[in-house]
Amino acid sequence: MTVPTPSQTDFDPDLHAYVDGRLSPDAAAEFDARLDGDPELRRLADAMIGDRDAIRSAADGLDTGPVNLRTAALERQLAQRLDRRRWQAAIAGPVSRQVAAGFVMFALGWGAHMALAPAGTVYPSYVAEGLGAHTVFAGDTVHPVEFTPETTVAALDWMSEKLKHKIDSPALDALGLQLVGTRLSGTREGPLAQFIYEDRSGNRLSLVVMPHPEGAPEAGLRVARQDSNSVGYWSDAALDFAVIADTSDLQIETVAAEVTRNVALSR
Amino acid sequence: MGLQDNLHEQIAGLRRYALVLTRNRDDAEDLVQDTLAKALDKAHTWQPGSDLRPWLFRILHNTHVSNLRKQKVRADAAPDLPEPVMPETQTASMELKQVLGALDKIPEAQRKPILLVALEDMSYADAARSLDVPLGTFMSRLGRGRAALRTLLGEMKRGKLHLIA
Repeated sequence: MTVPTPSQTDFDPDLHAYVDGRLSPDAAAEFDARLDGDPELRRLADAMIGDRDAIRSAADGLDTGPVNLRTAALERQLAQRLDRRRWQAAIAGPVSRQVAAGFVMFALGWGAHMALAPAGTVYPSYVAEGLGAHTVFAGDTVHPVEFTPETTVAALDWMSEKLKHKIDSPALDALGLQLVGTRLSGTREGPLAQFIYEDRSGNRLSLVVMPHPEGAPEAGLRVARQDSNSVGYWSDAALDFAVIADTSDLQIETVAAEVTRNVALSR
Repeated sequence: MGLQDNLHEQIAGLRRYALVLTRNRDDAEDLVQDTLAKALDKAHTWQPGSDLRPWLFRILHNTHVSNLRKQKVRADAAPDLPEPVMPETQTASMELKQVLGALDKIPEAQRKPILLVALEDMSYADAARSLDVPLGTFMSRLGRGRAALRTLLGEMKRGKLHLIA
């Protein structure tokens, strides 16, 4: 079989764009008018559309097997990796230097301290991240937050999108705690939202929220101590929570209960 | 659409494309898995916010070329071995078999542009980028390939046998 030399028409970019549906409506109408005046070109365009459709049908006919488990596993890994990459890029904005500085402090200060913590003090990673964030940011009275209470509503929408769950700023006014502001950080596990509150005397409390890993079990409230801080942490089906402050375990339990009540009300 | 759903859709597209390209379910699955494994290594090269599809297809094309090279080395090293028997592909109709048969006869450099625009809703520029060729080269190969496909299918239909579609 010999394949004849293609003609000039075969390289007409408008013809291909017409066949592939890539012309604007106006350009497509114009090309249609051209086809009306050129039956040979019309036949060629119709034949090319027929070939394209036949290729699609053939591909559909081939693609009938069940999903391969290894492919599905690779897909999950890649989704996580790309999500993390997207997340890293999201925080590489104007606040990146601040966040980066925070993590350097974390690595040198609190992180190193963690290594010296007594054996057996093992927290879920989001609690460790939350403790780090609290230590680095809540104690900073000059630049502790990215979003002030006034801008928090808009920031929360953005955070909700990142956390893939609608979150409202849990009001803790009932406990005499005022929202100072919020921060959004990136961790190895995903985005982390930190709400910083203050009591009348200026004592700070952090509420940390992260997306709960898919398939991981829910967990009831646990309270532990890390130096002078008390940390309460729990998970529901959608989110992981941690409440951290330099206070008594009983107060942390009270705050945790109030957060849980607020979250339940907002859903 | 979230990233996870988008990725799922793109991988379905990769599999479909790989199936037509390799015409063998196991080879296609291997190609997709190799592509995903490489994508995991190259995740840092993806620009968040950019379309995943051309990025993934570019990795698939590079993987495919590299696999073909390896296969050629193996084939050259074992010239006396018989050709492996490819499992018969399930196809809906004779017409579709003819299309696949005709595609097989077209040089790969032309077959890939035809398949990319037929199966993937990718812009010509993205499709060209995924093949690492300039847009002009891509359009020229698309034109040449489609003309060859037309001719081949025309000849098949002019055959003496009446083949039921």
